[in-house]
Order: sequence, then structure tokens, then C-alpha cells
Amino acid sequence: MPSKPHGGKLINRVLTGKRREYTIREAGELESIDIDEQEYRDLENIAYGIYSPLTGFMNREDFENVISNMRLVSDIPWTIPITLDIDVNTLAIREGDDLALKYKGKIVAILHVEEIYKYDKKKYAKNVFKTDDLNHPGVKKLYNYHNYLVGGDIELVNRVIDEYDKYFLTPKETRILFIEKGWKTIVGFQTRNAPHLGHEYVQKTALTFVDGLFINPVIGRKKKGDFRDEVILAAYNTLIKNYYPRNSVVLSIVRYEMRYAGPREAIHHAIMRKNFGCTHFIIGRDHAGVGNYYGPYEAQEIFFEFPDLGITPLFFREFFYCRKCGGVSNDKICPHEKSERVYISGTKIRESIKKGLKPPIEMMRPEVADTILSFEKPFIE
Amino acid sequence: MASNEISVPIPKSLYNRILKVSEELGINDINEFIADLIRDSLNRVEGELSKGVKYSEEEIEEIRNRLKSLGYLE
Repeated sequence: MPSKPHGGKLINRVLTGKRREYTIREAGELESIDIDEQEYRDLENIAYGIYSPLTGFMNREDFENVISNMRLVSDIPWTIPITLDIDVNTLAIREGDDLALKYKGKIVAILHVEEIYKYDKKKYAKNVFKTDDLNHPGVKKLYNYHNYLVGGDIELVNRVIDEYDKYFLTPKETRILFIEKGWKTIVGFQTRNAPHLGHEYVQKTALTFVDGLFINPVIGRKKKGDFRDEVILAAYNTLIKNYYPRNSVVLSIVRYEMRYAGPREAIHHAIMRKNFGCTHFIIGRDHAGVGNYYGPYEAQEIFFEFPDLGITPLFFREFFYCRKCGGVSNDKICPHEKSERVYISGTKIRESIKKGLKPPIEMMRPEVADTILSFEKPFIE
Repeated sequence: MASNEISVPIPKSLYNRILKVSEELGINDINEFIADLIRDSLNRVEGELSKGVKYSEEEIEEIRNRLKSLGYLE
């Protein structure tokens, strides 16, 4: 059976039918705020249960507990604050009011305002990102927000549909899919990249011990020079078609904006995949890291603080192609000298692709490289 | 307090509600009454948890159809 949802219950805050119609009509009369992409993604993830047991944006008590103790007030593990920024100077709302949330000009949800509260950004940054350096993308974003947050339950009334919708499955759907496939154990894999040989090695090693592999790329805002979302999905489709057993893999996206919070975010990623039904989750070197803010294996070590997480992490070391082994390996299992090692580098792969060349065969499957090269513009510009 | 007991702080308003109900029921031992309430609630919650996530046949069929239309199921 897929794992139990985090907190015991899969949350659904998506309104349908007459209640939805009524709420949309009512929402037109309410005060409204525009939310940004990160907040919209969080909203959708709350509504579909990807953030179970959250039913809305965090109130002060949960927020403070998450910042200080990495747990909700209910003692359930939770490491990333899920919050909604508010400008109290321009908005006349009070606790107990309903607030319409707009994304790209369209009403997407209602927030039942429970609490409006001020917060300490420095403490947030130091605890969650382990730095208050404004060069850190998460810290920079945090300091661009106002000084107040608004907490309360949400109800989603509209979704923004995009070209990737055919790849989006809700936790309810993945759970039924896994059951239909007869999978009892499922390993989740988070990615923001086109697959190279190292990813394949990690995924297949994990798949050896479980029934199914859930490849769950993060779709959303990325940095200049990153692979475009459609390229990542096309590359994975090619890899799966050519190199994976047909009934052992599911490819489905999650829309989410990275925080680059390293170890804390690794726990958050695991919780999301637990809600999709995964029993296991792959954590590699410097998971969810950026720059040199976190130690290479810090995102693995943090899992020892959460024996009650309810999903089993699978830790992987840095990998490389060893010419003598004739395959992908790591320093724990490869006895050969360093000169035999070809480190699989995302930067080198991107450099080759930019020149219109296939990356070395020790780094990327030629079929995957062909798929990427078939795109006129494979990178974010 | 006995060594096999612990003290758990609860909101005073909640305690007052329990006290009121216990008086209406003519219960003398408030501690025993609270322990019974917790046991009952816990049994119910544990029962819910053991059921896992359940869906109706219609929901499952609808999801199966979507999964088939997207190529996830044959």
C-alpha cells in the first residue's frame, strides 16, 4: 500500500459544484490580493493535499513552531514555513474576514483570515536557510516580502491550467495509480534537470529494492541557463522509453518553487512525496542546496532528527563514471584511482549542448542527448 | 502525582466544559472522566487511521478513466 498521508489524512480543499459557483460569486464582493507564483503553487499544493496536513497558510503558532522546532504545533514534522505575505498598509481586512486570492488577475481561492501577524525575518532566514546572506536566493526573496503574514484555511475555486497539465497527477490519483499497478513500495525522485547517467544509476539502484519509481520533476520558475521544463519532460520520456522497464516507472510533475533551503527543504520534499504515496525518497549529495551554504551531506543527516517522518530516505553519495568499472560508481564501492573517474557534471553537459554537441557517453545517453538537441532553445534565456 | 502519571496542560475553557458535563452526569472523579474521554477519542482516531485513505467506487472509476486517458494506465 502507498504510505499514509502525512498527519494521517489527505487534505482536499478544492471546491466543486454549487459551492464553488456560490463562492466565486461571493468572492467578487470581497477584498482581494494578488499572490505571486510561489504563493500560488503553495496554494494549489495545500488544496490538493500535497502539503497534507496543512489546510491553509500558517498561523503564527505553527509558523513559530516550524521556524524554531521544525514541527507543527501538533508535533507533526514540518520544516518549511508555508506563508502568505500581506501588505497591511493597503488592505482593510481583519481577522475573521474572508479574502479573495488572485493569481494573474483571476480569483483562484478564498482565504478565511484567522490571523495577521508580524514576523522576524532574520530569525526566519537564520533558522530556515542557515544564513541571512542576501546572496542566497531564498533569503533575497524573503527580504523582498512585507513584514506581515496572513494565516488561515483556504478553498481553491479556480486553477491555472498550463501546457503541462497532462503530466500533473494529484496525490489522490497517484495513490490509486500505485494501487492499480500493484506497487506496495514506491521510491520518489525529485529533479530539476534533464536526466544524465548519474540520475539513472541512482534511480535504478533504488528501484532494485522497491516496486515502483515515481519520477517527480519540479515544474516552475527556474534560473537562466537551466533546462526548460518541456526539455526535461521530453528527455525523461526518451530515457524511460529506451532504458526502463515499462511498468516500473511513473513520470508526473509537481508545481513548486524551490526555496534552496538545503536540509530543511529535503525533509519538505520527502513529505510532499509521502503525500503522493511514496514509501521511500532519494536524497543525493547537496539536495536542494545552492552555493556553499550547506555541507554536501547535511540534507541526509537531518533525516536522523525525524524518526517519525513516515517515509524512508535512501541516501546516495556523489557518483562518477569509472572507466575501469565500466559504469557509474561512487567512492564507497569503486577501488580504482581517481584518474579513471569521469565526474558527471551538469555544467559540462550544458556546455556541450550549447555548442550543439552530444555530451560524452559516460555522462548522458545518446538518445537523451538527441532529444535535447532537437529543441531549438533547450535552456531558459 | 503517582510515578506512572503525567500532567498535561489543557486550555482552562476546555477543562471548564468537561467539568460542567461531568457535574451534569453526576461524575465525582474528574481525572478518571478525562482519561475515559481521551481513551474514547483515541480509539476513534486510531480506527480512522487504520482505514487509510478510502475512496468511493465512482471516485476510483473517474480517476481510473483520467489515468487511462493520460496513458498512465492501459
